[in-house]
Amino acid sequence: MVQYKNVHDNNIILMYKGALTFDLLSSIIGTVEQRINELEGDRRTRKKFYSVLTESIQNLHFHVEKAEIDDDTISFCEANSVLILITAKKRYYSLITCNNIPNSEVTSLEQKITEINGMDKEKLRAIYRESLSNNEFSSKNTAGLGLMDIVRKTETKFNYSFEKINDNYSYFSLESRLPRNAKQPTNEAKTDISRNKELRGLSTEVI
Amino acid sequence: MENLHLAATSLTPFVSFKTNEGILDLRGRSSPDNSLGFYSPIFQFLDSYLDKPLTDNLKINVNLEYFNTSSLKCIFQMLKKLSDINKHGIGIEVNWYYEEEDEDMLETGEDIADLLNLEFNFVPEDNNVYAPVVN
Repeated sequence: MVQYKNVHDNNIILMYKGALTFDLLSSIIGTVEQRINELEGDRRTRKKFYSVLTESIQNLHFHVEKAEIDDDTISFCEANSVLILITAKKRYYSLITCNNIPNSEVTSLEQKITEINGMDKEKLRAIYRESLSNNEFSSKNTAGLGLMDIVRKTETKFNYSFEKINDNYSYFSLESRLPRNAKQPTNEAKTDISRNKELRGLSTEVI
Repeated sequence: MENLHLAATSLTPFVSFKTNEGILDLRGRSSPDNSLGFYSPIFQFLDSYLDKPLTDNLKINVNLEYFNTSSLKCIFQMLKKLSDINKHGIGIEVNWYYEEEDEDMLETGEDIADLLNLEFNFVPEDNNVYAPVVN
């Protein structure tokens, strides 16, 4: 049972599971922005939040891939589904996105995230500038700057996990945390496994 | 040559280029899903203008509240295109507006100016008095 108390206690701003179309994405961004305008007094944090929100959800939309249905592991509904969970904690906002990803792409994505997580502020700015000035767009017309931009805005490393579903697909979860007082960024990335347990714990508690 | 005029939407900025004055204005937000699709016609318009410019100076006002990263890349390419004309004796003035406390926007402007070897005028704006989008 969904209890109002759980939803209220966990400060859930948005919880969505299902297919993600561009219209829905725009509507989600609009709705969450309104909610943040009510919740967050600091204009600078609001702008950062909007930026991280847009980048995260558009990134999800660009890279989501419909998984092949598998009788044992991936149902028709799951094949097309993404999960978005946005919560307001006392010290930070948490934006979690989850989607299916082909196993063949796991290594390169994990490497990219590890690299970004390992860079300090100056290094990140230098690589960002380099990517900005090259003329390349990906085959999906993306700039390749999204993940870096999120970490530059939040000044907090990503939490992430890959969970193997079957021989072809894994379930990818990515969390960005935006400190609520932007002047005091937190950098308390938990281990992927403990974080993932927490994600699952939260879902069970609410649903 | 006619002017360029695009009205703002919730996801795309107001864009205006007055050809006889050489003034390009960008205002509002820029976060379309397909930024390249939105900016490509603007690139084409600027290309044909730059073939036969009507003024000795270009004035570019970038007054954006927010842009996504793919828009940023397009804006960079657009400014690069315009800055190339600078090498052919046409003056270029870039006014980069940012909200007073928005260090991210200021930093992005500084990075672009540095990468293009251009001098930007950085114009801080009061948080509460945001330039209205005039269509």
